[in-house]
Amino acid sequence: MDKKIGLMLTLIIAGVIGRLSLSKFLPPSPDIFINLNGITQPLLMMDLFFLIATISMLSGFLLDRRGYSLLVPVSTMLITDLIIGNNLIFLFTWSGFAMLALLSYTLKSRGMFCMQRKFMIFGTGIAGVLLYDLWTNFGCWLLWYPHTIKGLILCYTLAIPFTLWHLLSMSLAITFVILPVVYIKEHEIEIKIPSFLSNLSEKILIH
Amino acid sequence: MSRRILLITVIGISIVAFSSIGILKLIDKGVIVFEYPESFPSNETINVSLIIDYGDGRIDRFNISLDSKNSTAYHVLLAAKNEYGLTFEAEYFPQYKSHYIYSINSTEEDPKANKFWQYYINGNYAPVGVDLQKVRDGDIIEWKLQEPKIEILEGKNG
Repeated sequence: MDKKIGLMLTLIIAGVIGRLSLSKFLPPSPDIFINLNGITQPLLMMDLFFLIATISMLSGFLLDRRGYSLLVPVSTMLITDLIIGNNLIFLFTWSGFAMLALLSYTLKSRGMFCMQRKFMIFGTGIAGVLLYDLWTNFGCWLLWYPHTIKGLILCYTLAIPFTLWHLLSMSLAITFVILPVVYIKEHEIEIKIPSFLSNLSEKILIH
Repeated sequence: MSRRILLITVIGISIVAFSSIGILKLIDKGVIVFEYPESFPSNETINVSLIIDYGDGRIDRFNISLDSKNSTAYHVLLAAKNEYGLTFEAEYFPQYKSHYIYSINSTEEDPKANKFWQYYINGNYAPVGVDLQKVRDGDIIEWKLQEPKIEILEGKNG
């Protein structure tokens, strides 16, 4: 039980530190442009979506309770948004990441989050990205764009470079982070939680 | 088991093949390009209007002339800086290939009041960053300090 809380705290801290420190290390967008509806944009617009999405999927996979799984992405976003700042779009981004955690948790509870079903994990991740982008861009349209078909088309057109980056970065994250974690868990390789996190989780349980 | 692997391999190769053909088609049709398209093939002077709306009733207007080779919304701000002493502060984001403007003439954005600098071309919300937005002769570039609310005119460029 306390180990799970330690794991939950580890995921939250990793997400918070990652989101606050990694934005400067994002690579510049390559010199490839996409021209849609007369609007020319870089083909890929890089952000740290993959980091919180990976944390969300791992929380669904590694934590035993649905509530804990949802708490990880929501807490990570809450803490970092308090520091970075946000606006009403948080309603959509927080719930979007919670959806990813829920998808991952559902996959695990059906016994399908395993190396034998790696294509299912991959497919769930990609479906999660598309679901997240459809949901959050709908939020952008609702909040900032004219509530017309033209506004909706403009909103989703401008989001395409972000979606392409999300698909690319998440494919890499699933391959190089999530699947190795699944492999490690299946082969029962012990991962040591830092002692200060174990102590912290014990204190939380006592209180 | 081997039939399953064969099926997965065939599906995988088909996806890669169809994706590659699709991407090549998009490159061929000019939807995907490898350098930002130039608006004007030759050097000529273009004239645009720049309006700064500070959101508190103050409005500044400038007539800007610039070289068509360097005619992005960012170049308009640079020209206004050189010609009229307009000041602005910006941060470049290489992952978006554009500057983010957060202060004009010492009037900074106010995230707590949800007010940010946004710009419009001929009354339409500019859909891309300042470094990617080309301007044409006669365009009106309007900067407004306002809540993020995108407006689209149903007329010119709308």
